[in-house]
Amino acid sequence: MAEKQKRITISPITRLEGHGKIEIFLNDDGNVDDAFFQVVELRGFEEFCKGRPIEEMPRLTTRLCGVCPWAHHIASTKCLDNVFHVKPTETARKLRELGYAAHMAHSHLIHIYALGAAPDLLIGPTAPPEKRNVVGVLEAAGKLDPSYPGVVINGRAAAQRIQDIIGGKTIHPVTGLPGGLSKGITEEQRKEIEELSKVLVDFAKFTEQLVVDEVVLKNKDYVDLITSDTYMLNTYYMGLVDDNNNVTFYDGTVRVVDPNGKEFVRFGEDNNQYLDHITEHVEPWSYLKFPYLKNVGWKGLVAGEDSGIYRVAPLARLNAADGMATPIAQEQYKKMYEAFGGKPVHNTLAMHWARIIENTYASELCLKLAEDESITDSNVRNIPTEKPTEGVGIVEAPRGTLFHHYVADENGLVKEANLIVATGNNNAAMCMDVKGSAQKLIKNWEVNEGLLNMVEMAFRAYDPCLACATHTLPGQTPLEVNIYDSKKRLYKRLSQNI
Amino acid sequence: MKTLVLGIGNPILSDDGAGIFACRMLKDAISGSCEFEDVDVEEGSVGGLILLDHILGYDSVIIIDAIKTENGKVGDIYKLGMDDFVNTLHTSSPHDVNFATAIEIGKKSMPESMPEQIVIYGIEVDRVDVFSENVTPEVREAIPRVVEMVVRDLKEAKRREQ
Repeated sequence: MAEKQKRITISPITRLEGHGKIEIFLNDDGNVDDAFFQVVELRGFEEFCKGRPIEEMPRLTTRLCGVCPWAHHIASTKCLDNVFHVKPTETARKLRELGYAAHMAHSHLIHIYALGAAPDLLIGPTAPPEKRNVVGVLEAAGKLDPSYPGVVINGRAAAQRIQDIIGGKTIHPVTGLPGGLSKGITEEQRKEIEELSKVLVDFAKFTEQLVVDEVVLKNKDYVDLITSDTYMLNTYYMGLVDDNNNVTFYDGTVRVVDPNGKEFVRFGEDNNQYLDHITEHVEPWSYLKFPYLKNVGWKGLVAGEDSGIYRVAPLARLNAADGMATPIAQEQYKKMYEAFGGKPVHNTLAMHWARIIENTYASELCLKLAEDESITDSNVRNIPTEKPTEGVGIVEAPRGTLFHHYVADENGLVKEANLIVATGNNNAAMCMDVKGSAQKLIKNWEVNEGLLNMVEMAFRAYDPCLACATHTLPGQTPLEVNIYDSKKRLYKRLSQNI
Repeated sequence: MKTLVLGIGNPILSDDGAGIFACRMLKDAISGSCEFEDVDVEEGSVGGLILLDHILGYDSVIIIDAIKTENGKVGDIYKLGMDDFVNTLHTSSPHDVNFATAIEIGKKSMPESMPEQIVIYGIEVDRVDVFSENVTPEVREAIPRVVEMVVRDLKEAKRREQ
């Protein structure tokens, strides 16, 4: 029996080469022509789904990604509402929105404390990578407030518990059905969620004060870093908005604003409208496609009003909206735009700040929905009565706008499935930020050593989903950069943590 | 002694689901047996801090996951303790802290709820990038073996307790 107990024999390798792989192409003078960010794709999901009962999709799609199962579950459930031509009951809608807001808070908190804002800013971007992790954050923050480490764990756990109560299963939600949910919540559960939501709101306020007030705004170096033009792309922005053009995650209208902040287009889930506005460009050097705005056009990896490249995720959502629907988040929203001197903000590193504001909104939304006593109503499902046909479901995933589109055959089995995921939407922008860093640090065949750090900071801001797990520690993003000459011959390779 | 056996992986991504399939087989093997009434068997496609949330409050935790090692032989099974910690496929993620870090945080912030013992069984796998419910033959053959090992561990723990 092959049972081995020696560490020495084991050297795990990176899954699927799922680390960030960057290809940089130089011109004849040894300066940067183009740069691509590579993601190894998990293959065959659409094929896998074909021929399965369409109502299985909300449970199948949670397996697409261990990071954001709720985003796929809810997008898929909303898609099924449309496929079955049924609307969820009012209570079901509120419960979905509540569970989903808890998911957004949970996801954002992990990013803020473990991966992005806090490790880079609280510990310092120039600190050695082994210090820039969540343990370092807890130590540094503990000096500011001794109760802090416990607060972080409790805040996250509160969000997790709300998801568990509503999701119906400990890890992967299973509750979504066309027309509603499989179960409601009791008054006792509502009260528990209300208390948990208060913890979340307090923690959100603490988080904003800690990161924004204490760390960033009091430190000129950080302000300079965030507001510098190092990662600045004036692109279009996309996000879901409600009837008042406030940021929304669960449902609403997709609104796209141009690089000047002016509304360019808005569309909903009906009639597969997304296909009228988004199409995908294919590059031979990338596995991932490049979605862009069809009615502006693909002009290559360039920013500006004439290029159809748009961005999604926290900063894009705030740029695409006019404000936040809850009071504390709205104050924080105004504060951010005042600090930058207006809208839209094009600085990629402001993504971290925007994420903090969204966490506040998600927390306040949880509390608002949990305070509504009618949410315990037992009417959580409208039974579909029509034959399933075709539909689209759109939500804002933590990393940006997520589209699910299914077509059923005459037996109610999946005939076609098309998904545009958040990281895909940001693919072009990530490549451009990589290209921008490369252009600054590669001159006339000279490659500056700081290249990997610069690329990693862009990565952290977008938090791209690299086809699930890779073997990485926070602060130690596995990266490989291949630099090619104009004849496409490998000129230099840089890597870290591989 | 409250014990959790947690299978992690993705059951629709070929060999990636090895840990999940092992847990399902284990559940069938021990369900209804009063000998194992204080053993919970769960599955999930998670890692990092979310794993931490799920192990709090248990005395002992056994994790079953897929692993890929350099020059590894598909179907081999590794038994790993906290001292020889390595990353299996799902104990780490770019969107979360790795499991060792999560354990460190747990020990610092809520030591009273942390399990005394954590063991990971890693099954050496091959294909993890294609959506499919089929696993490669060597992995299929390893699954009952790992289940047998876990049952043996559970019985051993029970014996020590008595």
